[in-house]
Amino acid sequence: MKRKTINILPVLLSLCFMFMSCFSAYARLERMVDGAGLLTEYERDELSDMLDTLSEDDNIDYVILTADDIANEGYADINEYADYYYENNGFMPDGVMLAINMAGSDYCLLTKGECNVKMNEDNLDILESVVVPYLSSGDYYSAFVAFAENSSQLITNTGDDVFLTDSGVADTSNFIEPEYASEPKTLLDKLVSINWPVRIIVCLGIGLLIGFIVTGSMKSKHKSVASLHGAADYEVSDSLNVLRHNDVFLYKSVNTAPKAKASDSSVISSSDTFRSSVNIPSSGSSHGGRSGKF
Amino acid sequence: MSEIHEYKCPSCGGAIEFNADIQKMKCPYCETEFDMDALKAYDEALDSNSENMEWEKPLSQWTEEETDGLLTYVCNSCGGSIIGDENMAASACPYCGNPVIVMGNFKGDLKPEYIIPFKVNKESAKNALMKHYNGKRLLPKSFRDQNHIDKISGVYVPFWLFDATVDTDFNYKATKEKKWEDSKNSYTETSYYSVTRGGTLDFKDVPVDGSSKFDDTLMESIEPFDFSDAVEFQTAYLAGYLADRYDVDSEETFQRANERIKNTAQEAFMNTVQGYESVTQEGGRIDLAESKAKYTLLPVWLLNTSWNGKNYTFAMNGQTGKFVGDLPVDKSLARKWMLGIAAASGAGALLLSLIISLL
Repeated sequence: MKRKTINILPVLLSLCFMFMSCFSAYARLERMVDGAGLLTEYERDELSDMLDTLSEDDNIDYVILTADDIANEGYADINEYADYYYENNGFMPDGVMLAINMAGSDYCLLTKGECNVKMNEDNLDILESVVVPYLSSGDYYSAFVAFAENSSQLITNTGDDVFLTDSGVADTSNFIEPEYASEPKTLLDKLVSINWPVRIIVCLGIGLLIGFIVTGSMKSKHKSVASLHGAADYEVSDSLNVLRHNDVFLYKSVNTAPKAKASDSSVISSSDTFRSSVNIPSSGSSHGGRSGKF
Repeated sequence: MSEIHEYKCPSCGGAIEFNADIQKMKCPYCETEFDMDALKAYDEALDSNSENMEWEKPLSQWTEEETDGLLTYVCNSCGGSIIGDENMAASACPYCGNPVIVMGNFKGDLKPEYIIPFKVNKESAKNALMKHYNGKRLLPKSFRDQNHIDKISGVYVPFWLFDATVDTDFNYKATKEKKWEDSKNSYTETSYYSVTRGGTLDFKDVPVDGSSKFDDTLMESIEPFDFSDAVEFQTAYLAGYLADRYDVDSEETFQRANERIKNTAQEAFMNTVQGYESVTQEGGRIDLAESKAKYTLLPVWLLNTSWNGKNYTFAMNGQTGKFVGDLPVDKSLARKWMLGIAAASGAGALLLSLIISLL
């Protein structure tokens, strides 16, 4: 009687394709990089989609970058860190970035390419006045939504003074106030918001690992024959006699390791916000913007 | 012309020179400084590495009265020979499981000095085999169902037992560490020491299998034997059992006994070096004093079986009842278990992660 065999090759290939497609879906440009963990998974996904849409529509990269402490990356200045990150992660020549360093309460509004001109000093004033108060109050999601929407408005409305009053002061009446996106309330909303492909792959991996460990343990019970390393069972008890001992100091060495330095920003401020306009020429393309404390 | 003695640096191995400025020995390569006395002591310890492990051999011979009534059985299948008394109906070769046929009068060479009589009977051996199968979920059903239990044979296996007093000196490199920090740096100071320990350690009745027919690893697996039950050999103890003849000379088994004794001696003396962060053995000397080898028969229950073209041997210590023997694994059954556990664990992990997310 012919034995039935299961061809597992199609199953393995299907698993490989599923794995690769999940990865390709997530190999897109990341415009919302929350290194400091300020947002929930839902807020991060919402902002990511918003930044992707605005970037594609305006043909400009809008990027948000947060970090716990840029000193861990070897940087002391938020402007240098933001510029380095933008230059080395595949973004378009034209862009606007909001970078946050939580350790020093620093923010940086970085502009690149044509945005150096489009996001002029007046527009930077307006953007700062909308974003920084949310940062100071700890409402990071609102700050990031305000940055994304108002940056796009300011960039695409260049040349129109719709945001200034007659006396030249920023007119806040047209600001786009962010609607606070709360966590999904219903069970269905929660289920829909879950990242299913990655979750299934991770759980499958955990299952396979547990399977290997358990069957490995079952197989090891089948082995009981092993040679012995020594003859400890045949050592006569209390027969060990240490008759000669000598401990001689030879030399010593000292190893010195420097401690990690804290951020040595020369800007000192208390709870007041501090603003400075900076136009720093970099080794790559030029960038503009401004930075400060929140 | 007198010989020039060159000292090697304990840190990097380079040739050390005397530095007149500091009046100490200094390595020109790593610039470590050493006291002359410390360096000399370290060098002498390294030079003392040696081994002298030789054994006194047994001399006892069989008498004619003792060999009367003993027969040699030879297996046509594997060529193994085994001794039994004239009333022993040898049914199966303990080496390969095939029937033994040819018999002849036994004419031995060395007579065993001691024997540990069987303490565990055949019924216990059979029960131990069934117990050995329990809990082995990956054991092929056809293997479990094969009924070879009655082919279990009680065999006296020849062993060489080694007694010795070991005289050793070992030298080590050991380190101590001190750590501290200030506002700018973390500091680790490592002090290096040359440590020597020497003394004696006694071993009694270290067994090494004297038959090439029995796998040495299998015989070591059923240890230890308790030699307080050993008695002077008499032929009468062989009644009802088989006995193997030694065909591995005591000289050939010296190596294995030396290796085991050396390993245990090294561990015992290493454990006496206390108070250091790390200890590394660099060399040593081992000499055997009062060493002798005894030829002894030890009781073993043996079963040979074959499955899927492969031989499986089970052995039980005839004195303590310790049972060993590798069992085959049903690969398709193992695969099913693996996939089943993976599916269940994966589903459980997914469910748990969903519950956590939805809370």
